[in-house]
Amino acid sequence: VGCSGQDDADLVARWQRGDAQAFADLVGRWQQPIARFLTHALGRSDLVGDACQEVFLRALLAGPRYRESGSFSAWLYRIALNVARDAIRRQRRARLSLVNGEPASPAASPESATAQHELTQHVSAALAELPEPQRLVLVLRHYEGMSFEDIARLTATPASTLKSRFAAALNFLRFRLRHLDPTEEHQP
Amino acid sequence: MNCTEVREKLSALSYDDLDPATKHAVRDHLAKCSTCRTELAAFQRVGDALDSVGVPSVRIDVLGLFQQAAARRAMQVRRWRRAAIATCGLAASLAIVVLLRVELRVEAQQLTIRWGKNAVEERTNPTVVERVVARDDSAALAALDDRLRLLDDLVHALITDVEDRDERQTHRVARLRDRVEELLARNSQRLGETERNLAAVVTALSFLPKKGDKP
Repeated sequence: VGCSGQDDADLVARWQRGDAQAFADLVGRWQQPIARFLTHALGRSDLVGDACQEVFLRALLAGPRYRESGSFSAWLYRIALNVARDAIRRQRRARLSLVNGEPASPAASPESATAQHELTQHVSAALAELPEPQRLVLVLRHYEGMSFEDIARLTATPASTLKSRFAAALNFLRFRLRHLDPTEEHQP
Repeated sequence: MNCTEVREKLSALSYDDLDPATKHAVRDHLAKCSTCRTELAAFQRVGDALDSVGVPSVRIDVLGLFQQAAARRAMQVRRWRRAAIATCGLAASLAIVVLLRVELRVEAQQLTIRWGKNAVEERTNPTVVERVVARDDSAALAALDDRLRLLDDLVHALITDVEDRDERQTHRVARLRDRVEELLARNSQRLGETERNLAAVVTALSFLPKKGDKP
């Protein structure tokens, strides 16, 4: 997951010695990857800012208890995963459909904005329909590029179970997005 | 491998999650089977569709984080203090109940609260009670008084400890706040320096000869 574990370890050590700037540097380094994970895990871009803030707040509060094991990013993703699960639970309690929320925003060029927006909406809606365990493994594998072994450590779930969930998620998406496939016949 | 076996592995193949031998077998089949190649392409299109979802740009307010963290820690300290005081109060109440032998009895049409030695016990063994009372009534009261004083000291010690901890936490929060303010001031200073540098660069650029100017 991490791109510069050694630098992270150095920054974490400085932060734990009381260097606030080191924590600010860690935030600057990881805010966008965590935002990407939360965007896809929650399926709503309007919730990402607050969720991201919560992840780093929890990290700041838990910082003194963190013990360096060479993977700050895994620790941070575990916090992000918990924040995502809490947010999903809150959404479910509030009986708000993920599809009715603001879908993750596209980074479209002006020429293709409409088509891109439509595609994004379809994909976001399909992602939101996935059961939470399948969505999380899909997000971690596809968007974060984690191996099943890493995801297994992160979620405390056997890798074989994760592989099955991932395959099921892909099959569902393939079925759900079949109308976007030019080679398949459109079925209403 | 037949088509059914291969199709079960296509999603894994599209993410390069197969072991080399299986991957080789699947690729051999795909080279010969156009239907399975179409299936694989469909999985790859799902991957492309997933990549179409953009990510909003996020900027974390680090200063706000430090302030929120300080507020949460202060809240936790208050909760701990309340819990400690409640626990001390409960412990003191229980100790009083035990020491004074408080007895609560609900009988027909009446509620009886009594403390001290059991009257029934006294009646069944009057000689012992009389002997004890006669021998050392004042000593028993003094012992009870000592115990209550000890309990009082214990409760006060606990309260002092809780207050000390609270004070230490308050100092810690104050130090954190000072550090945040210092960071803010340093950032502000850096911003000022950057603005001055930028202004100097802009001024220097305005003095450079423009295209077409005669030297």
